[in-house]
Amino acid sequence: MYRYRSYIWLFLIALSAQLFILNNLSLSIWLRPMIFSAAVLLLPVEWRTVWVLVTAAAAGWTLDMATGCQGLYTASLLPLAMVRGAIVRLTANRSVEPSDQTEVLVSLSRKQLFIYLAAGIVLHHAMFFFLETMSFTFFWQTAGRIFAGSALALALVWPGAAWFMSNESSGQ
Amino acid sequence: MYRLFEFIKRTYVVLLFLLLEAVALNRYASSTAYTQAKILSRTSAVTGAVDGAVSSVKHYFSLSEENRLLTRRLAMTEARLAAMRESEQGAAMLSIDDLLLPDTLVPEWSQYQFHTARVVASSTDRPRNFVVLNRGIADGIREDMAVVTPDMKLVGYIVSCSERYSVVLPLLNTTFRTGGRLASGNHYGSISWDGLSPYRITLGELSKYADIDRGVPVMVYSERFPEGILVGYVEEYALNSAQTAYTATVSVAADMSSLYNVIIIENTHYGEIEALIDDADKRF
Repeated sequence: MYRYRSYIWLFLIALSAQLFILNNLSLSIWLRPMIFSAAVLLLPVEWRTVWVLVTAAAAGWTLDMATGCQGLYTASLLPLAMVRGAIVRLTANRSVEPSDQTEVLVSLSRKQLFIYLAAGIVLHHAMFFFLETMSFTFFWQTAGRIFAGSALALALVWPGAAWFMSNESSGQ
Repeated sequence: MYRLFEFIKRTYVVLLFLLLEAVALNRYASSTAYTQAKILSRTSAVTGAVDGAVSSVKHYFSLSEENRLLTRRLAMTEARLAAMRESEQGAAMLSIDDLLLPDTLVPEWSQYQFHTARVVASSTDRPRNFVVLNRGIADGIREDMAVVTPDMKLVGYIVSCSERYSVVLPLLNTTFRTGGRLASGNHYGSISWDGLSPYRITLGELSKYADIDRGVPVMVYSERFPEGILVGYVEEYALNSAQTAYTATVSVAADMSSLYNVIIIENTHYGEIEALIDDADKRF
């Protein structure tokens, strides 16, 4: 049985940190971490995709409304919610079935979880920055922003994600 | 309907994703001028490529119609060309525009009337050659009218006319006489033919003070002809035995053996000039 309250807090903390702290920081043009994608990535993989889509759409819409980005956050987050299961299968070599009785993410090793998170965050940053530029003219500059933003986001997310998953594991 | 529901039930997650993504992208695309321009340029490129492909396919299927039209047009052009060739050969009427008249002659032409004609018979192998034209009295042709080639080279002048034909006394006739003037000056002499070579005539009685040289053009000097009618070019020249005048051999400019279309030139003042000369001859 999932502990929905912890996931709600996870969502609130991730969105608040993104909205009130990271979006207001002007570190560098190369450093624009987006940690809210981790909230979608850490949702139970066994959830029905339709609820993950709705959750991602709600989170994206909230950020769009708050930042005036008019759909950019939503458009970049929805694909991540759609391919989350595929990322798990590719990075952790685990099949995901709706009938799973144990949480797949909780059962992953630290390394598998890290790779899964890294892949998801990079994918989300790539979607976000290429949608933002809408051009491949400055491909390598965009790729640099994706790499730097993803690295910083992963560095910020990883300790919290590892702690959250150990709590989930101990709570099961 | 049942299959439709089954299809939606199987794919509703993907459909929901596409719907939400489309709504988000649509909002984002219309949010700023930059995104609008980018989307427009991308969609224009796509629609342009599609339109180009469709246009190519349509063009391919319309080639047969284009081919039919081109073939029809080619047939019409060929028919017109054949008609023009027949007209050119049959009528033997030349356009004045085709004569390539020298500009210097234009003011002089005002007293001259032009007629075109076609040679129906001619000879060059006898001492007294004649040329017969297909124009006669009915066409306004009279004696003493000048006859030249289309490129303004001397042929002769008309000596006899019937209702539909006329006879030309060409320069290749031993009785032919007319005046000739060197293009290098105003000295003139008398042109005649000795009956030997159809390519050479004689310019005699030319003043010993004339500026003569080989290759100098010889022009007609006669009231029958307008200015600028070419007779030929000086080949050889020598003073006569009395050392008073030059006698020059002149190569004939016109190809007398291949005459076909000719121009008949009428000097409308010729009768007046001749009457004055006759009157003076009688009085003095």
